[in-house]
Amino acid sequence: MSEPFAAVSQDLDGQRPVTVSAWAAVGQALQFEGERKQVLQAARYRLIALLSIFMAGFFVLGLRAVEVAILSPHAPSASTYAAAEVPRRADVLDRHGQLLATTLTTYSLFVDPSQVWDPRETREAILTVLPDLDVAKLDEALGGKGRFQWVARNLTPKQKQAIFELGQPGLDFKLEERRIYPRNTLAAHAMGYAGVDNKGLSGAELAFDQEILAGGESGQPFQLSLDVRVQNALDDELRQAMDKHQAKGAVGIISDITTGEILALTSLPDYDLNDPQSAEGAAQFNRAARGVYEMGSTFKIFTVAMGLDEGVVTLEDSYDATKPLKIGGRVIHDYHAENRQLTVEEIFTHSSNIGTAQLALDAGPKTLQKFLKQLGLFDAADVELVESARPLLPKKWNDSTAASVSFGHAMSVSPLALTAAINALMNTGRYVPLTLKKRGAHEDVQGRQVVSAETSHAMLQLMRANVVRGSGSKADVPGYRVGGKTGTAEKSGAGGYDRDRLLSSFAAVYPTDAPKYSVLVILDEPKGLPETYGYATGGWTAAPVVGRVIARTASFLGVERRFDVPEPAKAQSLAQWRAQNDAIAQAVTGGR
Amino acid sequence: MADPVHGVARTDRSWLANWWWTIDRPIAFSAFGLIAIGVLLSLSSSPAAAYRIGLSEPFYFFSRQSVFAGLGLVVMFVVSNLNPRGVRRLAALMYLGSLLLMVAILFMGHEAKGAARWISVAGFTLQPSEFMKPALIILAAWMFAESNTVDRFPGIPVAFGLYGLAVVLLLLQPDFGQTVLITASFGATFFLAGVPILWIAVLGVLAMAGAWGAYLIFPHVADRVEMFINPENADTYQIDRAFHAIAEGGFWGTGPGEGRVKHLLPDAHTDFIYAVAAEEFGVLMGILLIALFALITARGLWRSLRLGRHFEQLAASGLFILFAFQAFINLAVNLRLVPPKGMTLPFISYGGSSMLAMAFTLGFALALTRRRPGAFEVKTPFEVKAAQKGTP
Repeated sequence: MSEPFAAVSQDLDGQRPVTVSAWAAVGQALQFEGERKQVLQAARYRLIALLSIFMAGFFVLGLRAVEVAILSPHAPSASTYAAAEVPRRADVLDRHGQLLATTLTTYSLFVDPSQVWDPRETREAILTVLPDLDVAKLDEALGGKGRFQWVARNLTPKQKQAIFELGQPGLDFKLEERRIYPRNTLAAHAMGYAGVDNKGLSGAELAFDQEILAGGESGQPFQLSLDVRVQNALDDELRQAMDKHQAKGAVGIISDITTGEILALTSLPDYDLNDPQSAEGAAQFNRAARGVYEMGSTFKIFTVAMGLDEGVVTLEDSYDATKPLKIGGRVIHDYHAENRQLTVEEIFTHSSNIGTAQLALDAGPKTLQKFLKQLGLFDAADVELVESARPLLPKKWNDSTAASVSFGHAMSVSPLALTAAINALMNTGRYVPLTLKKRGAHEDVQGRQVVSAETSHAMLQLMRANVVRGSGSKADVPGYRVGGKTGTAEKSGAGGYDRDRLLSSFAAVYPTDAPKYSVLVILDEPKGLPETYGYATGGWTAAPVVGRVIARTASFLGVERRFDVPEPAKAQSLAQWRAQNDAIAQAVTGGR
Repeated sequence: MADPVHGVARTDRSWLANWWWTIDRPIAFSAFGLIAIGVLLSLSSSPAAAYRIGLSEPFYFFSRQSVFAGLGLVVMFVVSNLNPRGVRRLAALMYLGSLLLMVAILFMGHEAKGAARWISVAGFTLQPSEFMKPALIILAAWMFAESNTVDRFPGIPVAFGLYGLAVVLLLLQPDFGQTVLITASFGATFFLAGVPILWIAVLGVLAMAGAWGAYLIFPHVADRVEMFINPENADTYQIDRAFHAIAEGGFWGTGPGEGRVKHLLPDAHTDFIYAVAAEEFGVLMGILLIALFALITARGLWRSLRLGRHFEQLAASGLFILFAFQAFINLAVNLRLVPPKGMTLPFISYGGSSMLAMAFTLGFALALTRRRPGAFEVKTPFEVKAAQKGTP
């Protein structure tokens, strides 16, 4: 035996029995004799204790390692967030299939802040590609919590590649749908826009959000009632008029009175739908739907129709307009005072406040209230637009309010509500709700009868007469048989109505022999011009716009230009009107 | 007759063969395994760390860690050949050397992360406190052993003096983590030296008071404790990332080189190397690492237990305890069981000082636990059985 420690082994082997078990050996290790060994023996007990503690400690570490690695909830990875699908929106088309809104696939940049190593370096790198980013927001994203923060949405393929080539950790892309409006500002308020998350936020995009999303799923485009050509002409003319008269704003609505379809809807100022964030507050405001105004004399259409329909007056009746009317402690004047007895037709064509107010007083406030309510003027306009606003109504209905309301003061309605109500009176007395959605070719449009067909006929003739020989002559377009009513409302300011701040409008319908389309144009605070002799009234500012719009769009709408239709004569009775109407109808039919 | 397996016969009396047959091979192999894993992990973490500090050579840290690993193996081998007297002498030299360097640090230290712990020596950035730890434990064990001899040498006061000097220098840097580690290891050695339990209790209370004092005096200690207790209102960036990386690794890991945490943490290749390992290689690598540390600790303490001379027993157990404490604290920080403190994982973390100091530590411990006549008073149960079977 030549082992280096053989002596020890032999020594021990000599003393110990051969059947020592493992634990007995531990016992041996702890059993010593001799004073010098006592310390060592104590140390061995303590060592065993320490050893056990350490083993327990390492055992706990092992368990913890397993727990952390396997049992702890894993943070969802950034790509899990990115994979969340954004719904795709359908294309939006006009009534003839022209594209109004579509969706493109783009790249959106996000960051997993937990993977970013040096936020400052990453920020500087990103800014070399996207210099327009808001640095503060970028820093917030890079230092953000969680595993997903947007950096920039809807990048072009070129930008995407440039970001990719930066090689910065934690940056990643998500394919996104970007809503594109190829016609930018056209019909901005009617169309509206969808946000980056593809949620409709305004206009038709909001009103038809569900349908457009459903269409996106099934691949069906969504068709609006708008006609791009008509819309374009309306936008253009309103813009020019607004410029010319330095107006604060303008509204234009062209609709099909038989179906309620809105063919064009403009509210100025407007904005580029592709960049809604840059729009100022005023530009974001849809005056046609959300704005409510005291409309002025266009309301006389309602007062006169009520008078005829309720049998309060006949066309032969006349009212004394020789002097201002005193009522409720105030005095009602006429703008162009005739200072004589006026027939109902003259009250309409000369837009006499005194005559209209007396008519309303004869009917009584209750009747007027009921009539206007029937025309939907006591509610928000019945149209899909979420923006459609409720009117501002007088708190009390007495003679004084009835007189004011009779010529369009004391209550404020939206241009859309006004259009719907006028349309009903022109559409053989049937109220048809407005719509921005294209109606099917054979869709049966059920209206609600609000006045008799006779009243409707009479109103049509009055409208036409007003253009032929009344305040609305500037809206006339030879051959298109335009009828209409001017409206000029002084806006209320501090301490009463303000003569210099007008809401000037013109409500038209054509062709009056076979009424089909209505055109409403409103200018907000237009200024008079030398060529209008300083007048800023509806007849001088809004009526010419209506004329030009009709001249530009009637052919698109398939309205035949005819010069053989006799104009309505100065009628004396309803029977005469009817006879005359029959003659006109015969002439139209015979002419075909 | 040559052993067909080992290639070195027990009858070979050359010093290499002698070393091979007398060294504790399980500990040596485990240490070797840890060093190999450390090199492997540096291969993974090095490119990220190199890029982070702007080095063009991606394998800078890997190359250096390989050199450190080689040096460490040499140091461990050489040191493990020392006899107990040689161990004492070298430890005394190391203690003096690192003491001088730590004093020098106060005047010319290389400051990083709010503490001056490093000093440049011949182009090499050295952290002398790493070398101070094993040297202090050996000297303290020596002093405790001397105090038990007949000549009544005042070993205990001297040992406490040596400890106090080291702690003062550490706190001046400041290095609270190393202070805790030295205190715990020194305390454990003192506990093993056979003092009455009452003393230990009194010293434990003193240590608690010291920790409380540190909490009050050093703002970053208070911060870290606060952060551990209330993680939601503190900046727990590193520890959170490390923890999530371990969770991300799961059972199988993300795969070699596929981990993300190494890109995110400044200390990924040093203090949080366990997170890198667990993220890329999964829980099995984590368990393997823990098991290797546990094995060295258990085997080392078991061998120490059987040593027959007081100094050798105390010094060997003290060194293994030092090693175990350091590994335990680092792992516990990574697994979010204790408040974070800067501490390397022995043999695994990147760093020359840490590697060489650990090579010295285990080298000393191996030297003291070598088989040699008269060293062990009893055999382990396994050796008894082997002896029974092996008798020709």
